[in-house]
Amino acid sequence: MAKTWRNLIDEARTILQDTDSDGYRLEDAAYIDFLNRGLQAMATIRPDAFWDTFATDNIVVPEVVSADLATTFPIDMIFYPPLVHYVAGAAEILDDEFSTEGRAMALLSTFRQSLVAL
Amino acid sequence: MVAFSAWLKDALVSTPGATRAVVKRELINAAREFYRETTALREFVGPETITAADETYDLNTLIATPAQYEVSLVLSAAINRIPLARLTEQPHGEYEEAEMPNKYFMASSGVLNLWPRPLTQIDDALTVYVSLIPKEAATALPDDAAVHYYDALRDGMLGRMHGHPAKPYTNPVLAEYHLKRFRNAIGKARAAVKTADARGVGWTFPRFGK
Repeated sequence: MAKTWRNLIDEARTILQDTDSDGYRLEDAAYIDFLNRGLQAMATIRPDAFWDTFATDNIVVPEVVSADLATTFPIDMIFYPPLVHYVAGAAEILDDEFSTEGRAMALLSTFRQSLVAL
Repeated sequence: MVAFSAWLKDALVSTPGATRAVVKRELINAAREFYRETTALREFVGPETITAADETYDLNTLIATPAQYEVSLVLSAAINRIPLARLTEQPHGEYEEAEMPNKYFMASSGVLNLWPRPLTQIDDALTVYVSLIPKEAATALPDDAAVHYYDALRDGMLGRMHGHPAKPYTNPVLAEYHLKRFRNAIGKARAAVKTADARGVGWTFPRFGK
């Protein structure tokens, strides 16, 4: 079954063990912000990921809002795992009692490495 | 026509982390360069009826598969088998008129203009020998691409892909290797086209001497 933006955020929550829907540590809105920053970071490193959204003279990077969460992931699936890592890493880097800086760096590093190297 | 899929499948193992749309784009770019440089894809257009007072003929609409190809070069043109002389540009001054045009020039890419302008209709008269290249929006390649030029196009595609900066599949050494093979293949194909790929002795011993 095709993955959605919601699936991506849920997978990031799983990595962070933030899966208790009765008491999420971070609201969806925060994850959506991280997701959008991840998409923009990816557009810098791998503009070809947005090949199909090129319009007029530049790529169009999706700006996800909460109403879009049920939408199918519109980019090539090879870019799905790096984005999960970015969202989880960016959420982990938040300064709270649960965050682990080393893990955040590892996740963000994995995001970049998987986009530019094997 | 042959689908892109064979080349794209080949590229899978050599270009990990590449988006398929980009690989396809580079395959088309390589094919366009290959056929532009070699003129290996040729077609006779016509015979077309020459319309009175109409000097302009858009060859891109007259070729057999306009959805897939476009005219790269006009190799020759003739009216009722009489060759037309090629002009490098439109002559200065007013457009001349005559019963039978005897020259042509290219007004723009793929658009042939007869000179002088024909005064009368001439049925099934104009034939043009053109070289074609795949369009940017092509969805398949010519049959001979798979038979004769499979490796050449694969090299062109992979050379371009490996030359991309900062990607998982970036490899300058392989880029140079494949592009060198691609250029060699273009040279060989160009030579083969010039000689119509006729190999061996081009004459036979005269019958009277046997």
